[in-house]
Amino acid sequence: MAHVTESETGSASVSKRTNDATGRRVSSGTHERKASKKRLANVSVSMAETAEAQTVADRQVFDEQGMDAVLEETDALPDEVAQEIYEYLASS
Amino acid sequence: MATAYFFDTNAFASLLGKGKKAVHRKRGKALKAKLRQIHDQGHLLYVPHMVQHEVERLGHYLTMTGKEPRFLQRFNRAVYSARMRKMEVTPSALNKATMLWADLMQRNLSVGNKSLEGDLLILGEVLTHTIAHDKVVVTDNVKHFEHVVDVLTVADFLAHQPA
Repeated sequence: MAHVTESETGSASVSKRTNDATGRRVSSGTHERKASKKRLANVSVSMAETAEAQTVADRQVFDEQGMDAVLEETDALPDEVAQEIYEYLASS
Repeated sequence: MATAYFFDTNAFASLLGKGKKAVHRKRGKALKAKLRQIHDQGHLLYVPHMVQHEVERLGHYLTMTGKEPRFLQRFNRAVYSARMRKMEVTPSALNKATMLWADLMQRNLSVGNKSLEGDLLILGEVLTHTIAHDKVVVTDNVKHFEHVVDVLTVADFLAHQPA
């Protein structure tokens, strides 16, 4: 069972201390940080799951417009630059 | 059965740059169509980590010199649009490349060129990639790969019909 004690100053506005699950004395700020970390961890997991589901969905369709845009931008490059890029890649 | 295609750096030349020969200039559109066909048939497209490294270092050079600041964006867009999967190099892949290098040395085969060194790392990635698919490397450096894996040149890939 957790004990709550006043801080050294006795002020009601400063953080209080309790015993954590292992019996160690910790400030209320520690509890809040732990809770916050747990919330953030759950958010991260949820975001990762959403991103993975989105990636799987995205993979089902080849992005024709995206590839067209890449080729159009390649076509629009100055010849000298486009050839330098080609020669580097082709020789790698 | 689905096939896993692994693209060497030179396979991106016609998508991201322009060759002097007319046949190379037309290849970008043909490659786009082929990638779509392969994707729609359910085969898998991979970009080894070593290839990403070779492309990205060029991109940083092009950005630093102001020659083509959008190069990396175009590369990433091409990879994403074609639904290619970027690989991450693993310790197993590096170990495999190490053994391939030693094997070539032991057989007195030349290992002293820059392009082969990079291709050994790509081979390490391909050989250690755990996937129950046939594996094919798409490259114009056929000699660097053909003794170990199935290979298609970029021109052969364009004419290729997967099983």
